[in-house]
Amino acid sequence: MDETATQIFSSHRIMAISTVRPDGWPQTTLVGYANDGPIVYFLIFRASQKFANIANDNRVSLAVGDEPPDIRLAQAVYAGARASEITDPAARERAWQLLKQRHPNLVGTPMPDPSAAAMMQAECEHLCVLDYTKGLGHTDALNLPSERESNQRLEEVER
Amino acid sequence: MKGKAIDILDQNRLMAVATVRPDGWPQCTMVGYANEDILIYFIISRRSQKFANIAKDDRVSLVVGRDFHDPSAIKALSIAARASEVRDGKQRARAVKLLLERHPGLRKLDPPGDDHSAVMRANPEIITILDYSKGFGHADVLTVSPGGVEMTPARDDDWGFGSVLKPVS
Repeated sequence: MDETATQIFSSHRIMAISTVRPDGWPQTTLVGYANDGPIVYFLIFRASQKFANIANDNRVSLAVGDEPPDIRLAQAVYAGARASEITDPAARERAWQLLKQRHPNLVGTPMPDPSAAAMMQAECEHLCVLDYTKGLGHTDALNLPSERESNQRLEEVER
Repeated sequence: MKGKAIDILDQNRLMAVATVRPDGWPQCTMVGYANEDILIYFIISRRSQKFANIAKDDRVSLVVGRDFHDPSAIKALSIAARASEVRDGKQRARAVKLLLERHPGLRKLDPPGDDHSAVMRANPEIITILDYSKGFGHADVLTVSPGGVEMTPARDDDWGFGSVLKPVS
């Protein structure tokens, strides 16, 4: 992943996440996250509208950034990602460890009961890196191959 | 309760705005805003995808809040609103004045030109007010309509954390 994007993702811990409701309204909320490169982990309440939205359409949009002391120092990363629930217990435990590292106040609390909270991952496919230190309004757009596309490419190479 | 929403809007100046692209992907970006009561002003580029999205579908979702030291101090808003360009010259000038007051740093930049920048307003229809000082996950919902503001009872989604979640040391 792009170095600036990695740096922004790794130096923050809350993000805005947008999903689309079945009626077509976008819905944005703030959630705590941890990331491992372009994979972002977060917990959401199973009874939430957000969980229902993702079950209906897994396309989400993420925004990470904060207010700079000067607009010419603004940096943010926006990502188009596909979200899914992590159901494998070992993968869920690993994501929980990453979340605890990023959010030290979670240390010592048990992982929320999977029947109440879903451990989610979002895999970034499209990235837009806003970096005004390179010039006011400077943005770089890049596409990351999804796992599905990478596997397809691998299969093509193997063939 | 509307007063609490205005307080949170007044205490912040950066929000995340989500629009929906014609292909159905949500698109979330961050913009500076200024508010007058619960009416929210912001400026976007006419060449932006966001502007095109709003022209096609004026339904937007806004979030106002910030990172926290103490989870019980979380105060945030999640707003469903309809966005439109401010075309009236007088209202546009007022919106720009409010934006410059809230964001004095913008004074260093050229004033927004009408050919490049669109001054937008977002009229909230549903406002979810998160106030975790009343319990982790405490949320009140306000529905805004021409008839006034209606509140639905608070919802508490405490994730089973109860009151055990500690401040970040």
